[in-house]
Amino acid sequence: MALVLDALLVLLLVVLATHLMREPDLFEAGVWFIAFGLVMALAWLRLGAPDVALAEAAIGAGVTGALFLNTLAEVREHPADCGPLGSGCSVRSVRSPAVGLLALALTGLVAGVVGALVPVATGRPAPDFPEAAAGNPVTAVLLDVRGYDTLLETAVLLLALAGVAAAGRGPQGGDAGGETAAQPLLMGLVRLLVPAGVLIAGALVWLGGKGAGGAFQAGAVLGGSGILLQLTGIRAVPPQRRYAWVRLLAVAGTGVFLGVALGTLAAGRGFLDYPAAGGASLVLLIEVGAAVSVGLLLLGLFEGVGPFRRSGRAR
Amino acid sequence: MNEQALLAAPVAVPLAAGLVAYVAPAGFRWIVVVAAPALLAAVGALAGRVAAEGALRAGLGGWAADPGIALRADALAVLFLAVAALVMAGASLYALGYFPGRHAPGSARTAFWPLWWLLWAGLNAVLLTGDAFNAYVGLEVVSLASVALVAVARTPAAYRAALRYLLVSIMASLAYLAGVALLYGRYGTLDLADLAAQAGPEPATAAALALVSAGLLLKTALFPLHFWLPAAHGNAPGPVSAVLSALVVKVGFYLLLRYWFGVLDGAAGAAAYTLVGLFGAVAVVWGGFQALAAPRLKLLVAYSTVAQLGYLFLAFPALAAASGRLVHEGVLYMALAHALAKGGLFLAAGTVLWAAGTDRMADLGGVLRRLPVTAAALAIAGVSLIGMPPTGGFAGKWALLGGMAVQGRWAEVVVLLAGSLLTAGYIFRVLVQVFHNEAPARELERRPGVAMNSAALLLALAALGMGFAAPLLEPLVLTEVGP
Amino acid sequence: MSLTALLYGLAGAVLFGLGLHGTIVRPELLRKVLAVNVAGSGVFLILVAFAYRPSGAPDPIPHALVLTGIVVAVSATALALALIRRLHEAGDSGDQR
Repeated sequence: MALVLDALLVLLLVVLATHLMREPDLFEAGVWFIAFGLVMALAWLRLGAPDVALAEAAIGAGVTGALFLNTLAEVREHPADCGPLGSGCSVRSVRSPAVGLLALALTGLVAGVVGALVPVATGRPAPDFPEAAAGNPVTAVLLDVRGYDTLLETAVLLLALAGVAAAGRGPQGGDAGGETAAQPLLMGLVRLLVPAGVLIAGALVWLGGKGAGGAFQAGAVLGGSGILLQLTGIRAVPPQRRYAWVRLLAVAGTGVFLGVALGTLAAGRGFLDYPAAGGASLVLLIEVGAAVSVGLLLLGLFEGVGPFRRSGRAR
Repeated sequence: MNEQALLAAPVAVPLAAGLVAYVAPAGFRWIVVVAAPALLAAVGALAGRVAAEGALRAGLGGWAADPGIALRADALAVLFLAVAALVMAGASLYALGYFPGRHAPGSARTAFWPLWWLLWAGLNAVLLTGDAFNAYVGLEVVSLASVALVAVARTPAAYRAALRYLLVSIMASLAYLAGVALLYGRYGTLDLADLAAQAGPEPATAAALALVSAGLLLKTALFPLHFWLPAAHGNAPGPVSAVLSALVVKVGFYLLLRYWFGVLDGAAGAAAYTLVGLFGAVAVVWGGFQALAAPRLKLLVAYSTVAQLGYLFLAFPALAAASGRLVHEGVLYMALAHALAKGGLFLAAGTVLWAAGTDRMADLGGVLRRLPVTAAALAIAGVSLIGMPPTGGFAGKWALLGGMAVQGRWAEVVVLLAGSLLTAGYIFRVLVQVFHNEAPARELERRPGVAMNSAALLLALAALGMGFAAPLLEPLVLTEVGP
Repeated sequence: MSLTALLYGLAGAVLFGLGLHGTIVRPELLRKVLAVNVAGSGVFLILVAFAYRPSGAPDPIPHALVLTGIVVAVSATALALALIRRLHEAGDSGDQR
């Protein structure tokens, strides 16, 4: 019975993916993509991965989808933007069958190997880490056992924001708070959702130690709350370009993590080797820093998000 | 514990520098003055330790390598780390002079430095990692930083090139990750040494290696997966092009060496090596001809990279053979010498574009006559690329030729010689402009300072000096590639 | 043998191939970005399928890897979208060189 549910979910995933790639209207494709992400979250739950489900819903579907729609609103894509990477328009239709066959072959190869390996992989006993500095096994792996990966990952997120800044600034939205159309429904929602968002983010960080949750999901909720606020014309946070302390908060995730790592090294232990007593507190400290950072970075990525103009289009 | 400090420093120092550069962009000069020498010292210390006592390995965070992450410094890692440090330090010096004007928030320079340091951190992270997934994260740091650095040029061509580079990079990383996923499914470990111990010639492992290799070959731009490179390297800002061609494409090659000859050796059939070698040969010839025809100097140098990377893969079949010692030596010398020479070459080419506002080959002669130091750097770096004695490039080519001849691989010898001829062709194409009397001397828009001039020259001289240092490097170079 | 894990693992393989195909073939840059995310989700599905245990707690390591992967994916996507926006503002001519 459960297998029927799983089969339906998988079918839905493939259908949604195919739709989003073939749907001519990019806005609808974006919506299909968000739906795809939410169904993915269900799949993660079915596979016993609630932390991943939270991250997928918040980041994979939520933030990615919102970024996409935000960009789409700013950009009108010309159909002449053509070709697979590097060729002109006219070549595309010729390439399709060959690429399709290659993709099919690749899928077949990977599917075959995966099919053969699933019994091998699922038959192995799952490792556990009782001595780790966090009760939730995924948090334990993320922040203790393989903390170095996560340290680099916070740098990747920072790179995204620094990269967006590197490409230059587009027309700034959200600066002029004046021209806001009165949006009573939005204001009412924001009054409820933004404080709730902050609380939920805090809860995710706190609970992430023992149950499902964690810094990145919390950061995504924080970032989302900030964006909601910005839609009403209230700038959630002063611009990073002008204020060093905001930049400092943005690097807090990586900075605190690196600081703890070097601290344990200096204290005679290894790089990122938490002491038995106080290890959980250090992990919590890192998670708080990471959540704040992630929230700020995600907020920073939504450039040009501002209040609705009277014409009704998002600026 | 001391070992962990030595192993972590090459990543921790640039990471910290990047954070400081992000928060306090006005202090970029101080950061260079402190962090670059610190990194050179850290890498030097690590290299000294490895040379004296052999390879170093440590599991981070108090965990054993599996399930944790291990860092590993052996001869191969240390050689690449050292060359990376030299090129990055030189390009950092160059970058000090490259971005003009006073401090301005939102300017290209403000954005450049955090990305730059994080790139260095990522490069070192990949070189030092002993974990398959950690390599993925490190590769992502390198890729995103590289793409963003291309975009710093802020021209439509740069945006287009950066976007293509990014999409290709993401696909390549996903292929690599898929391969790692299969390896984890089969062996239950992500540690490269553990994988080396457990891996055998099975279909699942071969499929995993194929996926990993597809990703890494895309990143190393082996023909025909090179299509993204010329535009990206040709349109990036001066110091960025140098590092992209010298170092970023090399980390993919470095991981390929590890996987093919250290971790999963034996999983690839003889046909796979031959195929790679064949594409390497095509790259050498095709890249050379494209360089001969390139309309702009930076494009010429970018195509040269495609060609020179071809040599490294040409040698794969020979490397796999048991008698591959000379070939092994040659490949490493070529990779390292190319990094230094290409770094110098691109810095010099960047100076031409920076000073004259154009790098069109037709206008080159007039410009070069106003930039004697730049011309000298071009000449010296070019000589190493051609492979004339006594440069590092010569040491590499000589060893490769000898190794191929010993194995009776005459087809490869022919390709090597043809490639050298083509390289001589396009290098002379650049240098002959200096002596071409008919081109009028162009007025320069701005004169390069001491930083830019010395950086290009220093890297070119380093490529030259590598030839002299070859006997010293030999014990390190000859160490077998492990996981 | 776990049919659940097998089903999702195969779905992952399909999404991986589908996503890569879409990234190469679909002309619109924005759609390429979506497609490459689909491919990423496919690889993540494979990893988490391998982590599934029919009885008992799943293997947390692939879960952590996928979490990292999701964050990396959103970072890359954000950068790609910003580049698309800049290209559009600069008056993209459609010329591929």
